[in-house]
Amino acid sequence: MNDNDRELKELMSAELDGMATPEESVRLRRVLEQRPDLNAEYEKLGGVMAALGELCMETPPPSLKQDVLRAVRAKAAPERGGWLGSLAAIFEGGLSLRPAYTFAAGAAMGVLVFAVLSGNLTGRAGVDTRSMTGAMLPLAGNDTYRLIGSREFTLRQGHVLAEALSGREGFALRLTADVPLGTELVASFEPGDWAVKTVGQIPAGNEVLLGTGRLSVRIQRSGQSQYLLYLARKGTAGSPLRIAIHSSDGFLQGELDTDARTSGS
Amino acid sequence: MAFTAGATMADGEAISSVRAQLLRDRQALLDLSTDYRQVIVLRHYAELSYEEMSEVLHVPEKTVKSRLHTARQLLGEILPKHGITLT
Repeated sequence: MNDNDRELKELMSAELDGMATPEESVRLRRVLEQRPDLNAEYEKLGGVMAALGELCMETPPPSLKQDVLRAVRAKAAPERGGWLGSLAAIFEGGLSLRPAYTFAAGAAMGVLVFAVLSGNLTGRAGVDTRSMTGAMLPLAGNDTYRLIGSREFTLRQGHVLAEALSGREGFALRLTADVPLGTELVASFEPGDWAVKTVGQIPAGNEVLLGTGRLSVRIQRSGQSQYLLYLARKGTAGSPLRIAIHSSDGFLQGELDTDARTSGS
Repeated sequence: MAFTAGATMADGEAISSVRAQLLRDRQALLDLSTDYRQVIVLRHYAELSYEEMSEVLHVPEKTVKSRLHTARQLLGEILPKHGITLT
């Protein structure tokens, strides 16, 4: 590919992203009329753009872009691959948030990760936005999950039910909460023993953040909500999950066994 | 007590279907190498401009454009393999 072709390909991307100047657009149109090979490539790229817009992802919150930029700019000497390295690690199944990152970085990361990984139900085509009731459990893959233990946390104004479910592919934690606004639910686990497969919340609207060995939820809308955390076992160890609840009522915590053989259920 | 999608309530099947679609779409992005996945996520989900992506990635804007172009070309091959139709 010569420099001219390379420039034309960059111009195609700019045009598709709406970032080409009017002069560049005219120039590209003229070239495409004369180059069927490039025209075919341009049309295919248009198809990719359309497909990307239709992928089943949660619509990122409007603040995501600002959160990302604020996070990057707040870091005095950002390291190449640091923030995005963490992002990539998360995409690949690991979680490696650097502890020195600002809260904004963590928030942006968490939101972005949640947007990409979660099965959150939003208003995209074919997506259900109804509230979860009963014992519904969206499943990762075709696995069947069995309830192996549960623990109920009772607050003065509300309650949280934490359930441990075991499947062939791993373990799932289901949190069902009806608690005051501002309550924070934290599920922590040993990252050496567990890898996050996916996360979901129903209905959407509460802040869900993923960190190393930790899922935290801040309740921002009233009513019952449910959170699902799917974990894959990394080794033979099945260390317990720790649940902590911080609310205006106080602080509650407890553990959930993840081993079906010892749970006694 | 066992839970299976669709067995506990009618919504289960619909939600399971959405989840399967999500996993498929996520897997399609995972087929891209890190450099290309980064530009796709930053452009399409964080909606950063080229200039902002250049700042985040610490590479020239020209590199951002080039990576985006290549990433989209690769997705043109990857997406159909995951059953995602290009229109």
